[in-house]
Amino acid sequence: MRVNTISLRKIVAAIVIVAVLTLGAAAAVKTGYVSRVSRSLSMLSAAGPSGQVTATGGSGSATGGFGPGGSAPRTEGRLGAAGGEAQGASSAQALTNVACYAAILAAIATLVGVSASAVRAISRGSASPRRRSASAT
Amino acid sequence: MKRVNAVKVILDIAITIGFLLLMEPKATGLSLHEWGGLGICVFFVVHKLLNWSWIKAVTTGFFSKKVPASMRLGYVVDVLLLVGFSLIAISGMGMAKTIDFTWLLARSGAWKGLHAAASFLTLAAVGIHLGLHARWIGNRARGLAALLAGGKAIAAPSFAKGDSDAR
Repeated sequence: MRVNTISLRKIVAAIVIVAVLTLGAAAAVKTGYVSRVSRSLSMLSAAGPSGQVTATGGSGSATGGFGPGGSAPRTEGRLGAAGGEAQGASSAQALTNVACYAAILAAIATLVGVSASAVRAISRGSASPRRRSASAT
Repeated sequence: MKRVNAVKVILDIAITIGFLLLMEPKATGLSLHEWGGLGICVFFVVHKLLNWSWIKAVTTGFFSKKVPASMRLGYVVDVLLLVGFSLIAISGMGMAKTIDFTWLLARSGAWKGLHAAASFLTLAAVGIHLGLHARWIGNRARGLAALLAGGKAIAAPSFAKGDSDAR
């Protein structure tokens, strides 16, 4: 009966570990973490010697009279507003990414913590005083 | 709670939050990203120095039976973290724009890929490290919270022999 109890504990712990690891792997794939890592690694392996891109362009001359100048400030204003919106969206995206990284970190830490405590429970169970006293009798 | 343990917990929290913020350069700005990265490296070295007795004990007795498997696993993860942080720092210096490291490292297109790959893999290693020391962190965080609340600090738990969190 004692052996059955310990075996059951081991089986339950093993199921928990496998389930947690599977869920973790699925979460890593789902969040795109794995693809990001593989993309970075493939980028690393494909990186060759650095090159320098030189932008070339012709020179032009602006000609105009006094009349059309009035529309210029309005255009600048639009560009400014668009730039501000883009900057806001970019910082919001950056904070979202940080939150995602925090979630990934927490998920990995939880997975490992749960697995470690399960392993600890197994080893504690196999060396518990109850078992030792039972086997002695 | 001992003062050194309080320092350790505060340092660990700072490293974790700082590392997460540094994962996204747009969140901090490039200048802060680069200076903050150097700061994290200094924090990492201080973290290792504060736990030097543990490192020394496990290094010298790594292959002996006295060191349990969980502690060996933690040690291997720590070595991976050391490699990861070193790669991040070196590649970061190689591609730095606001700090001039050209006197030390030549600029190359390969640094970016190495920096990103090392960052993601180190993030995973940090997660494993935190998970392996979750009990230690939980105990110390409770002690620190009690200390900050002005109440009596929770006594540090006596760790059983072979507990990998005893550091």
